[in-house]
Amino acid sequence: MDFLSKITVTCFAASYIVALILEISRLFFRAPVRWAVMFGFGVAGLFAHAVYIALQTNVSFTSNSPLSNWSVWCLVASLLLVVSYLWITFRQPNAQTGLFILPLVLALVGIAQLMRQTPGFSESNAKSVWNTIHGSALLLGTVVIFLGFVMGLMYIVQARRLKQKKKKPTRFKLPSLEWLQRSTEQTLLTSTILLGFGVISGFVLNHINRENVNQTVGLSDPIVWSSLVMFGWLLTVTLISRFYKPARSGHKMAYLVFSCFFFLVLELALVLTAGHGSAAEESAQEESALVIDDTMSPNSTVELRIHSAENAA
Amino acid sequence: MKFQLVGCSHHHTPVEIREKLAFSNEQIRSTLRDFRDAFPKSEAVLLSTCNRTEFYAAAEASVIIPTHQEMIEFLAFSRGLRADEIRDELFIESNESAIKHLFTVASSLDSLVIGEAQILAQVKSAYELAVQESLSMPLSHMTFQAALMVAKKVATHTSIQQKRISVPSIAVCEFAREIFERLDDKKILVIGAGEMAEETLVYLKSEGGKNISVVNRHFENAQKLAEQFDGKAVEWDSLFHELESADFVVSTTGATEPIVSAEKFAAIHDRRQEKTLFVLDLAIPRDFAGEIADFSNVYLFTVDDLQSQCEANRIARQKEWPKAERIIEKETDEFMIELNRRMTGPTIKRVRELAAEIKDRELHRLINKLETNDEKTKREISISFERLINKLLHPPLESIRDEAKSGEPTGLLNALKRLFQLKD
Repeated sequence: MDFLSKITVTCFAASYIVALILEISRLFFRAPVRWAVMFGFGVAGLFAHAVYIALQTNVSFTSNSPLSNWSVWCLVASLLLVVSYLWITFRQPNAQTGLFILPLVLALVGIAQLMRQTPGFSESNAKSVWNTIHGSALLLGTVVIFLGFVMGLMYIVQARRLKQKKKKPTRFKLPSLEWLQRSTEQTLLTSTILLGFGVISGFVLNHINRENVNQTVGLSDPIVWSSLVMFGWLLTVTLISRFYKPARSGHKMAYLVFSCFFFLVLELALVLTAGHGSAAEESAQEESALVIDDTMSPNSTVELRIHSAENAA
Repeated sequence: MKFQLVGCSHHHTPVEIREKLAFSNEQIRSTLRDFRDAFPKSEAVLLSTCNRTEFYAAAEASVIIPTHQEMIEFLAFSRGLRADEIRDELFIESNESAIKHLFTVASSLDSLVIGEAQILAQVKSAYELAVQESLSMPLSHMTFQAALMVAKKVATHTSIQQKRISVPSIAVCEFAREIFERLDDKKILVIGAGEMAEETLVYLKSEGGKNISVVNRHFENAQKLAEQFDGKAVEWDSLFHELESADFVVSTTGATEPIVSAEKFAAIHDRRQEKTLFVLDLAIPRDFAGEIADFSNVYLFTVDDLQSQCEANRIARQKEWPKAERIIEKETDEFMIELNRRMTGPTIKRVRELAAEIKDRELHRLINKLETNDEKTKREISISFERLINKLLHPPLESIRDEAKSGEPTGLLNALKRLFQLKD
C-alpha cells in the first residue's frame, strides 16, 4: 500500500490529459481500441484522484473534516465531474463530451493546486454538522451547475450546426439536442435544490455563530448577498422554466444555465478570495465582534480596531 | 461439406413474389420439420424477412444434399406454389459463393437499408429456430457462427454501416438522430403518400417511429400508406392542426407552390410553445417556405441541404466498401480453408489408424520372435516403428493439407482412399 502514498496530483492530472488527448484524436482518425484506452485512462485517473483525496483528508482529519480547505473542495468537485464524465461517456460512447468536461476538470485541479497554501477551514467550522451540510450542498450544486454549463454549451454548438445546415462532421459527435436539453433542464432543477440547501444552511450557520460570538453577519456581507442574488436568480429561472413552457426550449435553457454558471464563477471567486469559512476569517470575525460589543470603553475599542486591522493586514 | 442456397430478395424479386414466399416463425418450424423428414442427412436454415427469403441447406457430401431443383420444389410446395411459378425469380448459390452470400447478408451489406442492425438479429434468430427443430446442426452451427463473427468484424473495422447514401435515410438515420434521442415517443407527420413518403417511412419504422400520421389530398392514398406502416390517415383539412403538435414532419407532395408559408407557420408557431420541430422537406418544388427555417427551434432541411451529406457519405462509402468486401473475402477464404481441412480429417484419421494397426501387429510379431524381456529394448523398437510410420505418412498427409488450402482436396483424398484401400 506504500505506492498509494506516492500518488501525486501529477498522476491523475496526467491521466486526464491523456484521456483528453485521446478525445481530441477522435476528431482526426478512427482507432478500434481507442475508446477503451481513453475510458481506462479516465478510470485510472479517477482511482488515483480518489486515493489522493482520501490520503490528503486522512492526514488532515486529526484537525479538520474531509472538506478541510478550498484546495480539497476543488479536488472533490473535479472528482465528481470526472465521475459524471465517465458515466456520460459510458452511456453515450460516440459523443465527445470529454472535449467539454475534461478541460473543466483540469481547470479545477489547477485551481486546487493554486489554493494549496490558503488557510484551511477553522476546526469548529469544519466539524459542525451545519457546516458539513453547507459545504456539501454547495459543492454538489457547483458540480451540477458546471455540468449544466457543459450540456448547455454542447446544445448551442449542436443547434447552431444544425441551424446552419452544415455537413455532419465525420468524427465530431455530440449527444442529441433532446438529450442535451433534458439534461440541462435537470441540472438546473437539481442545482437550485442543492444551492437552496447550501444557502439555507449558511443562514443557519450565521445564526448559530451570532449566538456564539455575538457576530452581526448580515446582508452587508458580499458573500451573503451575492449568494442570495444567485439563489434568487436560480429559483426564478427554475420556476419560470417549470411553469412557462416556452422557456423550456433548449436555447433558453442553455442561456439560463450559462447565466447561473457565470454567477457561480463570480460567487466562487468572491468566496475563494475572501477565504470564506477559513480559520483566519473566523478569528477576524471574532475580533470584529469584540470591537462592536465593547461600546462601554471607547478607548479600548479604538485599540481593538487597530489591533484587528493590523491582524487583517 | 456441401452448402446450397436458394432465395429471393428485394434486389431482383418483385414484392408480390416475396410476399408469397414469406414465412412466419411457425411456418418455418413446420417447413424445417418436413425438410428433415424428406432429407434426413441434411441440415437446413430458413431466413425470412420482409425483404428476403433464403433457404440454406448443408450436408457432409454432395450425394446427400438436396439439389437446387429439389430445394426450389420443396420451397414452392411449402408455400402452396408451383416450382415453375417461382423458379425464375429465385437465385441459387453453392458452397463458397453461398457462404460468402450469407456473410454479406449478415454484415448488412445486402440489405435495403445498408447497415441496419436488424438483419444480424434475424440471421441469428433463423439459425436458432433451425436448431430448435433439429437435434444436431454441426455444419450450420459452424457456418452461422462464422457469419455472426464476420458481421461484427465488418461493423467494428469499417464505418460502412454508418454511411447512408439516400436522402431519406440520411435525414432519418443521421439528422433526426442528432435532434431526437428516440423516435418512438415523437409525433411524426408525413405529408404526401407517394414513393418518397413510403421510402422515408421504411427508415422511420426501422428507427423506432410509432406515432405516425399520414396526410394527403387523396384521403384513400393516405389510408393505404398509413395502414402499411401502422399509422393513421388524416384529412387534408387537418394539416395545420396536426402541425401544431408534430415533432417530425416529412413533406413529399407534388404541389407546385409551398403548402406551408411563413405567415401560416407563424400562426401555429406560437401555439407550439417553442417545441422542437424537425421538418424534412423532400418535395421539389419545396412544400415549406425557406423562411420557416428562421423560426426558433425549427430545423428545416430540404433535399439540397442533404445532398452534400449524401455525396460525402457516397465518397466515404466508396472508400469503405472495398475494405468491407476484403474482410468478407478474407473471412470466406479462411472459412473455406478450415472447412477443407476439417474435410480431410476423417480420411487422415483412418490412414493413421490403419498404420497404427499394422505397426502394433508387426511389433507384436517381432517382440515374440526376439524373445526379449528387456523393457528398454522393447520401448526403443516401438519408438522406431512409430517414427518410421510418421516419416512415411508425413509427406502425403502434408500434401493433402496443402491442397486443402487451395480448394477441396477431393482428388488426393480419393487417391489416398484407393491407395490404402480405405472404405467409406
